[in-house]
Amino acid sequence: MDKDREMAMVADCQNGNKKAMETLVRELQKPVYNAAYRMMGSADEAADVAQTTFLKVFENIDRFDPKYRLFSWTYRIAVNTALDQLKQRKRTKPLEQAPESTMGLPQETTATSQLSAEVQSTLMELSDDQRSVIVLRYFSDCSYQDIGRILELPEKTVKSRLFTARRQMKRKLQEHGVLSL
Amino acid sequence: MNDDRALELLSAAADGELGADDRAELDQLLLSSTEARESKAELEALDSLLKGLPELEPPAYLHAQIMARANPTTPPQRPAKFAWLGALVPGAGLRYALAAATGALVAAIFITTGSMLSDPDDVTDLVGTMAPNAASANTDVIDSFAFRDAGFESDVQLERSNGSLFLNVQMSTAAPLDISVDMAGAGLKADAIAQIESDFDLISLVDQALSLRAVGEQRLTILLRRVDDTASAEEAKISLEFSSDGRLLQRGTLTATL
Repeated sequence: MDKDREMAMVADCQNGNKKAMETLVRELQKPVYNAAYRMMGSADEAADVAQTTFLKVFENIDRFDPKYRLFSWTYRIAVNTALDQLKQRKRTKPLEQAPESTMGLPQETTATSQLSAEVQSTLMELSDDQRSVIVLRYFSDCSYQDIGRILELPEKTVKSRLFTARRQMKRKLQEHGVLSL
Repeated sequence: MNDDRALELLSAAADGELGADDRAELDQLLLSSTEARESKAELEALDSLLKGLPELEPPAYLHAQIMARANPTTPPQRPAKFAWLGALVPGAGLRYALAAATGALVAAIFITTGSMLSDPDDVTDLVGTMAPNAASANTDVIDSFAFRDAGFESDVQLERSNGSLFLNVQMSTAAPLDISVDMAGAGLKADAIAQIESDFDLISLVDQALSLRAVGEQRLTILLRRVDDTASAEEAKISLEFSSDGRLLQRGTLTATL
C-alpha cells in the first residue's frame, strides 16, 4: 500500500468510515497475525493479539502520527500487545510449557511441518526481546530503522540485539540438530 | 578476530545494513578465516530456514470478529422482538412461554460465549426460541453443503419453513472447528438464533457475516431475513469457510433462487 492511499485510509478511519476500517483490517490482518503467532507460538493467542491490536489501532487512530507508516505503527501496537500478553502468561502460568508450536500451521508435508515446529519451538526459547527483533526482521520484513521505531530502540541496539538473537537461535538450532553445520 | 565479530558483521551484511568500512573488514575476514566462512554458511542456513517458514492464514472468523468489536455503536437493524414468532408459533400462550424461554436462552448463550460475543448489546439480536425443527414436515431443503475432513464433519443447509428461511448448521468434530458464513452475496442476514443444541465457543452474528466455533456434536439453526425485503427474487450465494486452528480446510457455497 503506498503512502498516499495509506493516509487516505487513515483519514477515512478517523472519520468513522466502516469500509475503510474493514479495508485496514483486511490489508494488515495477515502480517499482524503472522507476527503475533511467531511471538506467541499459539494460534488462539495470536488471534487474540491480532484482535486487540486492531481495536487499539481504531481506538487511537486519531493520534496516528503521519510521519510514521501505518504498518510500522500497527506492528508496534501488535508487538507491545504480544509482549504484554507474554508477561501476563508468565505471571499467571509460571509452570506451563510453551504452547504447541505446530498449531495453526497450514497443511504441509510431515517433514516441513516438523521443521516448522522445531524452528517455532526454538523461537519460543529466546528471550521476548530477542524474539521481537527476529520476528520483525524475518516475518515482518522490517529494516533496522523500522524495528528501531517499532521497539523504540536506537538502530545500534537493534543491530546488536539482532546479532545476539541470531547467535542464540543458531546455537539452539544446532543443539536441536536442526542446523547441522 | 573472534567468531562473534564475524557473526556481527555477517548479521549486518545479511540485512543489507553494512557500512563501507565494515564491508571491507568482512571481505578481508572471509578471505583469511575458515571460521568466518563457516559462520557465513551457518548464518545463510539460518536465514534460509527462517525465511522458508510458511506464512499462516488468519482464522476465517478473525475479520468479522474484529469488525464486530470495532463497531459496538453501530445500531443493529433488528426487527421488533418476538414479532416473527407469530408467524412461526400459533397461540398467544405458547408464544409467551416461548418468549420467556427465549430470555433464558439468550442469557445462556451470553454466558456460554462470554467475551467472544461482539458486544453485550449484541445479545439483543440473539432472540431465539424453540422454532421449527429443520426436520419438520413443512421444511424444504433449498441447498446443502457437506464438509468432510479427518476428524471433522459438518453439514450446512439452507431451508425454507413456513415461509421463513433458516440456515441449519450441524457439526461433529474431534477438534475445534470454525465455520464462517458470508451472506452478503445472498442479500441475507442472520436475524436470530432459532434453535441451539449444545454449546458453541463462539457465535458472532454481525450484519451479513456469521462466525461459529465449536467442538464435538453441535447443532444450530439461524433465522435469516432479506436485507432488502422488497428485492425481487435472485440467485443467492452464501459463502462458507471451514477452518481449524487457523488452517483453512475447505470453502463451499450454498446457492438458491429465493
